[in-house]
Amino acid sequence: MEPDLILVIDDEPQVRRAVRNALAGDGVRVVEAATGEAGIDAAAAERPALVVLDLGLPDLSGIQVCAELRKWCSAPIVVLSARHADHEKVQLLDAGADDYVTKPFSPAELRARVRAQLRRARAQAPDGAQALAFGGLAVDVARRRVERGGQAIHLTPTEWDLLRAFVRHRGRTLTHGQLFRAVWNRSDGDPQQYLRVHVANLRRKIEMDSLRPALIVTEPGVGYRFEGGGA
Amino acid sequence: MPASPRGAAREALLWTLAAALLTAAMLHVRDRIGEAHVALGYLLVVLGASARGGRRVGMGLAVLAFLAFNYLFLRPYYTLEVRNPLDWLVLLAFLAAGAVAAQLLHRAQREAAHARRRADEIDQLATLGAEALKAARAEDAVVTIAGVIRTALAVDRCDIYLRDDATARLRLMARSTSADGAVDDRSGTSTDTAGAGDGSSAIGSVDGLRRDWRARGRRWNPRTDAVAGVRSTGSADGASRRATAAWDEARIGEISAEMVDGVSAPLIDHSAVETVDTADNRQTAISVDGFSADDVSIPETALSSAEFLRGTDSRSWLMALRVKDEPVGVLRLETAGGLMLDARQRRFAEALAYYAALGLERVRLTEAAGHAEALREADRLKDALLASVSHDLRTPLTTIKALAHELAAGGDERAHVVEAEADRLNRFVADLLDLARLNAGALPIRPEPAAAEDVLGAALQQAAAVWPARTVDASVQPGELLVGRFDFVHTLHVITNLIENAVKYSPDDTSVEVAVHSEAGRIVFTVADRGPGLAPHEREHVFRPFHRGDGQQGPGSGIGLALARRLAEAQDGEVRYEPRPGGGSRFTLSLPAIPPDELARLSS
Repeated sequence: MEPDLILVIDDEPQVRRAVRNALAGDGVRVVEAATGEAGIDAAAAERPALVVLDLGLPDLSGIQVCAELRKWCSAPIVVLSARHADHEKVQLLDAGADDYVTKPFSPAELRARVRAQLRRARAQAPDGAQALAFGGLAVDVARRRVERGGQAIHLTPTEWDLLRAFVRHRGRTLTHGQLFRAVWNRSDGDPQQYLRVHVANLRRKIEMDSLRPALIVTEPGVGYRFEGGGA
Repeated sequence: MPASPRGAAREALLWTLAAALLTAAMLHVRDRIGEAHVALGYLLVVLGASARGGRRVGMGLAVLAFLAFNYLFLRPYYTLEVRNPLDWLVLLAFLAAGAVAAQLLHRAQREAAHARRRADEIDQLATLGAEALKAARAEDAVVTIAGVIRTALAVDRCDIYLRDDATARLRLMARSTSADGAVDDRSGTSTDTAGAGDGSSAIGSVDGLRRDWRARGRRWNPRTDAVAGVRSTGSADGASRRATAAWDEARIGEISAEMVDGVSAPLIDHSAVETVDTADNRQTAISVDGFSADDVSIPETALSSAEFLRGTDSRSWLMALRVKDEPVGVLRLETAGGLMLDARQRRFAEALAYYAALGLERVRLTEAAGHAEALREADRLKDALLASVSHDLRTPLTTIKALAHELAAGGDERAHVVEAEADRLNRFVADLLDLARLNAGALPIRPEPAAAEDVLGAALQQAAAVWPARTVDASVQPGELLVGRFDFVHTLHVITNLIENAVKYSPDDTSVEVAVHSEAGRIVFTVADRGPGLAPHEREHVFRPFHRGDGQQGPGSGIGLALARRLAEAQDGEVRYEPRPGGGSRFTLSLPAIPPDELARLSS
């Protein structure tokens, strides 16, 4: 199998090196770009399987690069961001990025995230056609049925809409805004405040231990991610 | 009453002359006028003399007029014989008229004098007030006030000391001395203009340097400095004489008391001359900074006493200077002959001292303002530095972690330590940055409805990533979902800081226990460990930045708990410590809860 091509867009050579070393030996090939412009050109020329994008580029903002790539490139984008930049992370995810890693990141973490995104991209299967299983949880999107261990779980309409959005975008970090739009089909309003409460209620119904959730993971300050990549 | 004995003699002479002229005139027409007309004429003279010259002149003229009347106009002429006893009534009428006129005069004069003294007194205090405000520099105002007090109270020397809060020492701010004796001022002779005796000097200052105003040729002159801008008209004798005149007026103390009502100078109500038990003066003296060779010592009681105290030597007096009941300094007066103050003099002195207190307060506030400005600038620089450090650290930390990872892959166990330390450094910098932003008011706080178990779960997830070797037991109150209104990210930060603290200060083989429950409308998180706990005196200190425990050598950011408390307070929360039953520490974070019924209504 041809190795996956990964494009790293970062102006710091040390960080590019760290990313390359983290991903080396995973059957991937790494292409580097030091500026946003060069990164967009490289993405057009090389058609990478995944893009690692740094937020602090000298020429273009991360959002500009992300928006430009998303016009014609469907490869997953993993953002490298600083702490204290939750707002930026949310903007990036809303602009089409798939996940983020906070600097200073551990190579293991970056590798896990990149792998998950590659796997997810490869497994792009039509949603809703079949029943999915996540651990002991069975979700039949078409029939609107959720079961654990053969026992049917009753969800409110809001909880069901939430679960459906999570399942459809499993493995992706969804911002509060994206989830809200998916469930309420509008961009703002008071219920958004209670999104966290609905997620907590949903967890109580589908997680084994709602304090240590295995399916719906909290991304503080950003949103939630449904860990169902292995399904 | 006449203003002076000399004035009385002049009036007596004048009116005697008038009586003589009248006598001569009436003698000329003695046969054509009646005795009653003559008596009336003399009565007018007696009235005039009494009104102008006072009672003694009036009485003298009355007797003189009666003798002249009897001798020259009452038959038989040229004898002092009184045939008709009713003629004695004439003498009585003269005397009575004189007495009444003199009395009226006396009252009018007294009221005029009183009004003048009141005006003088108010002028004097207004001068001081104006001086206290007018001077460009706060220290100059104190120097001027010392000069005014010295001349107003007619003492040889007036020192004003500032109490330095930081060092708890007294600093000499101003010294006014007089070489040729201020007593001269009381006689009304102005010595200020001669320039020989008056000198006011500031010795202590912000930078502790001694400034000698006398050396710079600057003198306080009541005529040019104090009076200008306060009075456009009025006697030019200077504030000193007006004040000296005021010594005699008992009402001055009351005026002073009105002016300082509720603010400062301690008022006393002794009726006799001060007699202070000097036994107090054997107490410890306060250290005094900024002195020249002629050192004096000031007993500690001077700062706390509500009254004038005798100084350590018999020639000096001390009084605490207060603003809003807080001692700000000490006023010291010295006179070669020993200063005797009766009750009303002391009240006047206290009113003057109030302005000295205000002057000192101004110095204090000016210094504090300068200090605060410097601190703000330092804060700004610190924040900029932290932000820069925080940003610039990320790249090298990323590199370090990457290298450590490669080393670990090569089988070097120490690499894990490097990675963990890099993470710890990153957390520390993040804490510092958050604290700096909080202090600068630049950290956004967005409380939103959130589930307690969501944030607790996120904290457990982070703890498992950072301290994989430690056991963290967690529990949630069974039943309804606990929902509070808090900032999710900052609350998570508080809880992880509390967990980090517990991990750091408890043995590795013990577990850290976190829990959450609701209590009286609050969501209460607890983080408990089996460490040594905190000694009572440390229980508040740990919430101060960079506090370290007793004899503690190990690692510790020193700001984790301080930041936790500040972050909690910023969102209507609280972080507290309590000893854990059975040993160890228990920290609690309480946040506002959203009641279940309100939640059901809003989220449906």
